[in-house]
Amino acid sequence: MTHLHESRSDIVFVTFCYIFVTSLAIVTAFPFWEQMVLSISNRADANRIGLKLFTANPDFTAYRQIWSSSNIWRSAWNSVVRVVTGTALSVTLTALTAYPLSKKKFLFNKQFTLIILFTMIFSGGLIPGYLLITKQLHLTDTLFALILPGAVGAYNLIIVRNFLRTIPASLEESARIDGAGDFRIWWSIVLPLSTAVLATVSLWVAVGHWNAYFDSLLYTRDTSKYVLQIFLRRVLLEQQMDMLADGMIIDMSAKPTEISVRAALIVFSTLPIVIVYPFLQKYFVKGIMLGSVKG
Amino acid sequence: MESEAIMSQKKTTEIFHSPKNGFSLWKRIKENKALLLMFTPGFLLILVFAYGPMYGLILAFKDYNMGLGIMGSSWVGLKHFRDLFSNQGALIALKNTFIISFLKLLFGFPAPIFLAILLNEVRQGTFKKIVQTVSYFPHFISWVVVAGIMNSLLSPSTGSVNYVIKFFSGEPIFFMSDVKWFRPMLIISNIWKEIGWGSVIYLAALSSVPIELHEAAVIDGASRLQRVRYITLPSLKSIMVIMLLLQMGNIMSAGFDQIFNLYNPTVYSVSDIIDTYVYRIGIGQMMYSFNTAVGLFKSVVSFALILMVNYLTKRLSDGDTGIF
Repeated sequence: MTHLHESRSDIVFVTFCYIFVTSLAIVTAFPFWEQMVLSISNRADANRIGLKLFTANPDFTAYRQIWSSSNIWRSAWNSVVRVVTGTALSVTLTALTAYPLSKKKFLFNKQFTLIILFTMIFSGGLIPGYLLITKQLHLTDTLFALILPGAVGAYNLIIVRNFLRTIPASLEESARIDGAGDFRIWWSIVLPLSTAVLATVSLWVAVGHWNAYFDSLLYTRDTSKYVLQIFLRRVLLEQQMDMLADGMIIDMSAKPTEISVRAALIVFSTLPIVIVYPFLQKYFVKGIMLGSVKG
Repeated sequence: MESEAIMSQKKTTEIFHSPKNGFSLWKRIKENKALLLMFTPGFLLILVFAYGPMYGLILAFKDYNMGLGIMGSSWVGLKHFRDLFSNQGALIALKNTFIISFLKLLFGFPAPIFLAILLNEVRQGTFKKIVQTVSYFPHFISWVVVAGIMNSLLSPSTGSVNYVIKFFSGEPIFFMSDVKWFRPMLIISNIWKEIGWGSVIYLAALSSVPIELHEAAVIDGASRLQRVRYITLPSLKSIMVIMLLLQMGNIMSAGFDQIFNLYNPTVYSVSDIIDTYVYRIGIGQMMYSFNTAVGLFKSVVSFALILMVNYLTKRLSDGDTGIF
């Protein structure tokens, strides 16, 4: 676009845009930056009053304490197990369930779709779900309680189904003539063509599992089965620093402040998100667009 | 006897292979065998974990007895619903839900639109990309972690925000435990976390505005502000209406994860919402039946709201872009 005659008011307006947008970026980034600085600050720096923009003498004692706490590693491992199994289960089942729904000729397609869509607008609520999982299915302290209930979400199903409908029927027909059955077609034609949408859904589900805490709070009694987010809740929000007490005994004079340890925990738990963030941005934006397609 | 059996078998065969229908149900099941097999595991999970709790809703009309289970517990009719409207805690939670949802709608809804419009004016590609990358980020962080960051940032003794306040010779503010400040805190932190991500959908809508519109307006001597007013805003109108209606359908959920991780007993009076109330009283104090009733009340109102919103969306967009 050409801007031959930028008037005075235009320049003022554009300047305002840049200032606002820059401030927003700073305001968004600052809290994370500050936590990072705090996590590598020594005792004196962490307790200093003022903005923590940088630290002159980085000190990694807080990380060393985290590193040596088996409670943290156990809960992080529990989270990893949850993310991996939960995502694998969820994506497999979603891809399987969505395929028949994408076929017009599928028996009772309309009725099944209605039953699934209804779960998007009405739910039994917290207590009946809690009683079902704890009292009737007895899933307390099992991984199933965390990965089964949300494994097949209506929203993801509809997104995948809508995508599958765009696969040209001719592709499947030629395979059918060659004698391939429905399973075969799903495996060797449909799946390879839908990697993009399945990647989107996988990331979606994986981030959801990594960040999930509430179901774990409801369905975990055994502290050795805590996921990382529950551990974080205990330490960050309920100030139970003794959760970290199993870490190595550090020379008391060099003991990191609680502020630094909490900051290090925040950085530690955010790291996986930072690592997948480039993919997230790419696929999530795509996902939003997919989601806006009518269900 | 034998002939009767043959007769009846013939009858069933006729029903299932009725030549009138051309192809029968049984034949169709056989045809769909593989598809049905693929469909069953996922569908069963939906039945168990989405419809199972719906069956459990009958608890709202019973008095739950641990030993007898849902089936065996005795019926009490609408007792819990009558209690609901005379229970101080539940009523406060209901009131807070509406107030917080309304405030979030009032301030949280326009924020991403504002950002999208301003970002749209930024023509410098790399800079725009950086701002987007940074502003989307908090969306992917759990409220547990965000609450941890806020505790540190807003601490009255060591927090940076209070440092700035004190620097300008103010009194430190106890943001997280002051009933005056807690709701504004909820609104601001929610905007902080979601403004960038919320703008994605509006930016997408803006990217499809034909550039010729802007070029023609420039030739006609329109200023940037005029172009925002007469080109950008009108092209966002339909998506704005849809997003607004969608959020209104969610009014009964004021943001459980946020409040649950931020609140504490000193601010219950201004922050306890239906969902937190049901969790605390229902599961914490094991008042299952009463809180199932509270949950059912919420679900039914939400359901009605969503149907209404969907109807309105369809009406406004001439029937082709309903949410369902």
